[in-house]
Amino acid sequence: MSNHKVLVIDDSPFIFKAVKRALEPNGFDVVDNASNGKIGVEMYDKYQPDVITLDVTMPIMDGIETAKALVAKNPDVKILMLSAMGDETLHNQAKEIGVKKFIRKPFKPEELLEKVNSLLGT
Amino acid sequence: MDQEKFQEILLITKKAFEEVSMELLETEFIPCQRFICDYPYKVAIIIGITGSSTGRLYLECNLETAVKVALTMNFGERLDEPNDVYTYLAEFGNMIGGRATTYMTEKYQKNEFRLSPPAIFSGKGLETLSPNIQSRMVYYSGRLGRFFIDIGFEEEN
Repeated sequence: MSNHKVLVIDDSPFIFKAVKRALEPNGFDVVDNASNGKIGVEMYDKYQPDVITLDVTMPIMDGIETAKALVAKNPDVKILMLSAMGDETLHNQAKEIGVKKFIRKPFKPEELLEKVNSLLGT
Repeated sequence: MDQEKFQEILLITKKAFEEVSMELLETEFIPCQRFICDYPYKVAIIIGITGSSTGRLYLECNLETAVKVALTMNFGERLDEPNDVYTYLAEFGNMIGGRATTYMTEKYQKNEFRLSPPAIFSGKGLETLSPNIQSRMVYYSGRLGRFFIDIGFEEEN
């Protein structure tokens, strides 16, 4: 069983709940939910999570700006970007910044688990 | 916007709504006959469409359906706050809009369609009007209730 820490950065309480339900039974510690990117960057410093699930459309600081700020702190940060849009332009932009994986919303629990495990190389 | 393209966009939006409903709520909504939206308390989700084509996606249901959708999204558990109904509905609308935009972007040129974050309106006796909009409507019925969807684009001069 994993004891990796996961931070959720998403303005939707539904996504936080869905991530918890998918990962916690598999031993992950879903530590907190940041409702925007600015809070998320602060929480990254606090929790030092192994994986971050990151929404794209958020108030105050969106997913792209947040990814830039997180990669600036740690170039090896493991980000799984969650988006309702499967937009190739967005994906390419995020990849260039250093986002490693993407998942389309809504997602199945096993799909999320597979992506997180893949990010961790487990 | 020419009528053929508009019809394709309507079909894409229907596909997105049906897919997201099935994946997220595990329920099927089936297109049905037009119904009169005379329920006393309405919940409306409005998502702006920007880019080369400007318009909006409008979804409407009654409060009872909105609560059922939110509870289903919340894995059948009670909602923490009464206002969670609206945040859950906003996420539902965001997923539908996002899926529809993805399909539109695949079919048409890049950046033709972008989405605004969803806005939720609710109230007793809520009436909505969309002047200067060319729109198409579709009505759905399912085990969680009924939805009315209207997709519209700015009229060209």
